[in-house]
Amino acid sequence: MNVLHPSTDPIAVFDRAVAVWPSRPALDIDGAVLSYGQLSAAADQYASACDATLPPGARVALVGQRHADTYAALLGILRSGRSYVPLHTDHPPERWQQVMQRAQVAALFDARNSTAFRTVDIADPAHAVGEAYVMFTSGSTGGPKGVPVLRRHVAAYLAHALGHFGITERDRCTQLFSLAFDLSVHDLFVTWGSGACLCVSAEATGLRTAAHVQRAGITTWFSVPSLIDLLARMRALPPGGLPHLERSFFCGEALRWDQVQRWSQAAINSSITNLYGPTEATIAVFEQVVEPPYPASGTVPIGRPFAGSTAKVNGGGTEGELILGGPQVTEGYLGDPAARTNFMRGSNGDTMWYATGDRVRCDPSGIYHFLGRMDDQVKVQGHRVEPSEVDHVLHPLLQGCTSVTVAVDRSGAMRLVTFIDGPADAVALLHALRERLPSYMMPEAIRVLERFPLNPNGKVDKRALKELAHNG
Amino acid sequence: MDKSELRTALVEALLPRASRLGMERSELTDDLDLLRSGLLDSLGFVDLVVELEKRSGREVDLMSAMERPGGSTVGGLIELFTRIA
Repeated sequence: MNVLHPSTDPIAVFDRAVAVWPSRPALDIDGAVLSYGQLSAAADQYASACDATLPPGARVALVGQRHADTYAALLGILRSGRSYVPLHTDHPPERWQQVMQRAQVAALFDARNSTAFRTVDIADPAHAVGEAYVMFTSGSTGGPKGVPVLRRHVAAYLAHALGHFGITERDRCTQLFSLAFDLSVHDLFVTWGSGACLCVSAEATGLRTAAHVQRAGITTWFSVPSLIDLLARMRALPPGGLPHLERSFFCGEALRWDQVQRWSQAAINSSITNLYGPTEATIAVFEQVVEPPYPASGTVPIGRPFAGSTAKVNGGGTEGELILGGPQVTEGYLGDPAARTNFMRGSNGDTMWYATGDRVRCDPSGIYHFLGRMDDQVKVQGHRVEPSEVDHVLHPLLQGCTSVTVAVDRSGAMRLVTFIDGPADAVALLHALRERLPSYMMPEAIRVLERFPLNPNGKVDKRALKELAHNG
Repeated sequence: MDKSELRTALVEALLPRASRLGMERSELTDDLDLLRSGLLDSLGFVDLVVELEKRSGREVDLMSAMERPGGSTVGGLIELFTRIA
């Protein structure tokens, strides 16, 4: 077996914890606990199964079921030198197929059906040595877009997180993110790299989170900010109601000051850190720890880049598109050279740069503030959504008509509305979309217009469509 | 509100969203899981409960309700509002 160094591989971070804390709890799923030693032994079995049945460097699709076998298989895949491609449990089968084909996976693991790797019949399986995982996000050119992330990218993130976030082997950490969301990689490897316990609830949908956190004795929280709104609306954030939390991290969408206020009144003993980063730059690359007194409105700055990462504003001013560089920036999208235009290799040949499409302002003290997107991309409960992906999926179903999907803000929650410029059976189309899109990408309505409103340049006036969507 | 009044209120509240998704009134059966079916997201579900609280004049313990199996089904919601406190 290769000797791995924690600075180059996340699995080495886990292995180090196994060596130091073999009998401490590593994984607690609704009260069923596995120690580091037990989880490592289970992972070994999966690593051996990979070696026995799959080519070296293969990618394995992993259904993100919150089950002990899923976590052990994920570790086994990585330990065997292979890469995992998570599939969201709520996504329709057609999307799974797309993801598996694009990633050229050699096998599928689904803890719901079997504890074996089921080989996939594929002509040309990927050979992805050095890769940790491929995450798929919404793509504006139609279909999900894969971001291959190498082990060294994850190790660079972990080097910062384990050095700065202050989590210890006494901590109990949340695992609220879907495994198909790269923030789950923080959940797993920051927890295990610290010797702490990863606390999972098999049914931890947003609504069941509050009870789980109380029951599991959570000390370290990580979620999207919109979960604060959800818990508040559920009346699950009474003042002082989360006294055991010692630190809270938020990432995935803009964190508002009113959310910070709410959270700090419930989690009275917790620090609050806002993290920022796109999947293309591995989990997160900016952090801002917030301190009271908190402003009443507006959003929390995204702060400063981690040591070792570099940020600049495109064009060199103080406001514009954020460009990221450094050891966490990945190399481009999967099998889609045309979409690599926002990745650049630095003149020294080593540093990768990624143009995020996020509009920022850098203030005189060097703190960055998120202002919005350069394009139409929106966040729906933390998920990146390109509204035009809905139109690409609809296109083959429309006979001679065109669709334009816009996003509207409904009291703090983003929703999609699709307009069609001609006769169409909206109900049948919605049925068809449900078979092809994840639930968070489903339009809340399809509306038929005689023709689209146009702006003075003769293009579809999306602003007018947004107003139409907003008003009904 | 009794069970049948609650069911009516619930169905009325769900119908606009359901019909936009191409679902018929007859599909809103007791075993329909409002979250898993994609009919509502978490925020939509909480908003629905708040709406039912207003109409029925009863406050419910949503946190413990979610802990019960079937808590997010049509039948589970009706049960939540009609069981004796």
